[in-house]
Amino acid sequence: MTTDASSPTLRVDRLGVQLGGQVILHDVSFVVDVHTTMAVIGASGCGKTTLLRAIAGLLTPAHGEVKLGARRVDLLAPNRRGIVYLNQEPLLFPHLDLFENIAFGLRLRRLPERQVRERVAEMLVQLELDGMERRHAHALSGGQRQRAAFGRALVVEPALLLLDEPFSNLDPDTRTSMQDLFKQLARRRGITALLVTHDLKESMRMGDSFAMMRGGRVHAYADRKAFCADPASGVEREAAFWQAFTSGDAQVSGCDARTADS
Amino acid sequence: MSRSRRPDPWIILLATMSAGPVLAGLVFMLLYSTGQIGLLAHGFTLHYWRVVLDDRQTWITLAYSLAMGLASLGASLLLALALQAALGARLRRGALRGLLFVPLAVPPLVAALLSVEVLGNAGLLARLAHALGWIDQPGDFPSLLFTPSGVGIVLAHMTLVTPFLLLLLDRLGRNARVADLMQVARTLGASRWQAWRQVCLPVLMRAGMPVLSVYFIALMGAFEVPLLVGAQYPAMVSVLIQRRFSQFDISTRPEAYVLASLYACLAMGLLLALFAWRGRREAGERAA
Amino acid sequence: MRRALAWILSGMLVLPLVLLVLLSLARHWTWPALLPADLQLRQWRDLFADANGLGTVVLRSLGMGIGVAVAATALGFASSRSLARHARQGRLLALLHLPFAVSPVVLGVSLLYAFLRLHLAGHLLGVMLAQLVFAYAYAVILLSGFWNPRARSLEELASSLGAGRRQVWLHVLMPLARPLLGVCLFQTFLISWFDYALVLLIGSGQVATLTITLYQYFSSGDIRLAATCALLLLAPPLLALGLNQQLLSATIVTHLEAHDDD
Repeated sequence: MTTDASSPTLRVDRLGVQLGGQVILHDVSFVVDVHTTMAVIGASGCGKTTLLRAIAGLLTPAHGEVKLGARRVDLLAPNRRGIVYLNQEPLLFPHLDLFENIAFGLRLRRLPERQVRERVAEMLVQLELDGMERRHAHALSGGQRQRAAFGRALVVEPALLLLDEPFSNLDPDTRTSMQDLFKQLARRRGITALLVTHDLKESMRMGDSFAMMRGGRVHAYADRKAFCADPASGVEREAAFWQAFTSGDAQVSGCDARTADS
Repeated sequence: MSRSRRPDPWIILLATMSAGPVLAGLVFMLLYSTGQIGLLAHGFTLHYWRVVLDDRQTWITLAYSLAMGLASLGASLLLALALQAALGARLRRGALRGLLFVPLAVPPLVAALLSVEVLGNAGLLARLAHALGWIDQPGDFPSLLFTPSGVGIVLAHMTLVTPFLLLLLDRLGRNARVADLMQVARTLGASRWQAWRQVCLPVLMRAGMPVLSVYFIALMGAFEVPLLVGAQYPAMVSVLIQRRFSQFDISTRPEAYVLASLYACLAMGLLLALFAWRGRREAGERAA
Repeated sequence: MRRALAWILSGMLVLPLVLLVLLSLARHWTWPALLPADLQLRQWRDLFADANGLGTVVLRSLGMGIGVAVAATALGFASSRSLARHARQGRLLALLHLPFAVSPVVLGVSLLYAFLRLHLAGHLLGVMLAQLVFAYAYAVILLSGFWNPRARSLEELASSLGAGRRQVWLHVLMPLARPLLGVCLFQTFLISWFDYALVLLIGSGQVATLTITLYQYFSSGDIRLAATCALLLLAPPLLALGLNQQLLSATIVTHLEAHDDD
């Protein structure tokens, strides 16, 4: 499923989703280049999760196409797409220990036992979870669980990784170190990823390209500069807020503090 | 935990009310069956124990109870899992949602009565078979009740247990977020069947194990259903104990006590093993 | 396909009730008729008109059930609080399962002698006491689910606000636990109401309850009256089902809540 041409370009073309007679996604189109991460920013309820679930095949779109490289995947069953969807919460399998959780996808692919061991062990080291192989989910911290869920997704070398606010449940320190870890792994393994978040800073840290989602529509930017320049992105507002602080003029926009640490 | 060393009276009540009657009863049965108290007391004897332990029927009854408990629970579980897989969310919608609770309102005695009226030789199914021209007389209908195979016992228990298990599985599934976990498995490359087999089933069985095993022990000691629809021989253990105990001939009483003691020890052993195993499993997962 | 299966299952769940009604109303239902010939309400009247008839039996069973339920729930509520705070919770929980494991018949047989000595055998009170063993254990297991961290912090909050022990119970814990106490009352009522083995053994033929009467009619071949008793047995739980499904689903909740967090 995921061999040499492992991380192709993602092309989403006029994708539309209706749930219960309500239009959730309107003709969404964008491209994510190979080996890059696109950050989609949007408030909660804008359809971010629906977009990811439609791409992963966990719900059926009304129309549109999803292509990975030259291959059209939207008609395939979720397990044949080579796309891994990472939930907001790290859902580890409660009946399996950490090692078996990470090995889950490899075992499905019937890899030889030795390879499974090697690849899981290597992943555990990268995640700094080595030595905890036999623990179950409830004996791991939130950050450890999130890392395990990451490892479980990355170890199968998916053609595309979908990240749904993956760090929002973590405390700020853990969040930052997870973001760094992800960038590191993504670069090393040449992963193509689509990240949705409501956190501006997170999108800036993790994205190579950017898009804004609002009311079920996606607007992709040409580059980072264009994203920052768009008043709707909130980047300028944020920058102005911190500038005001550092120049000692805090009262002006003090009430905006919420945006700063969201 | 408590502020003082003084034992909590409520804990004393708890232990007395639960273990007290069981242990007191066991001690009494041991004394009585070894000839030390009661109307037949003529000094210490192991006669009754020897009689019961040498009797093949004792072991057949214990094995039969074990088998009937396993079969009743196993068949109900298979049916419940199949129905859950086939019906999915429909179980939680419309009339079915409420109707699934109906069997919880039915005591075993009534379930047994209904089994006789539905499965018996002149029961509803036999009448239906006659109306369809399959059989001529009640005797032509295959015997489902009172047979050593215990089909009737298993079927009657299934009507009681399956709906309970369906509700249990549904609840366990939602608590453990099985649907989400299955989606994770799917995006990791699992087919529908693999996701069910490797995620849904083990997660549910793991979470349901404590309830299922307690239920199994209770089914092993079932009384009303085997009393009404079971065979004369072999009998399930509760039925045999009651039968020997209530005979006019009081001399079989010590034997009933021996059998009851044996069974009580078996059931208690199973229960304690279950709790010990659970404790170990949880401790093991926490350590590592 | 699904719909058809759902209908079949629904039918199978309703059929027994219909059958019971038919059986209790049918004067004759000879082989091989699919439906009884003439349905009459008369025996229902006869049944209750009889001076020593079913009316007394029903009242006796109701009284026993209510007595057992109130005692089990009251004692169980207080005990469950101590259980939830006890260091050896797991072991105590195992003890509480003992009566259910050894089964009512074995317990009844083994206690009969002691009950005879105490002049409790053959008496209403003796039977109720034996039923209470099961009902109490059940109540403690069910109600131990109530004492979660939230209940405890509310209890502590109330005492820090100046409430005395009595006030805490009356004005905080009882109202908080009311729905669960209702479920517990009802379920423990059913333990007594449905019981056959203990009445048979401890009652020694002197205590006629609804289940005993049902069995007598059944074994004497009077299916019509046995079915009528069965309907009477089903009436309270079915009525409760109409009012509140929660009352019947308790068994399921119990085990989950009791076992989830230990």
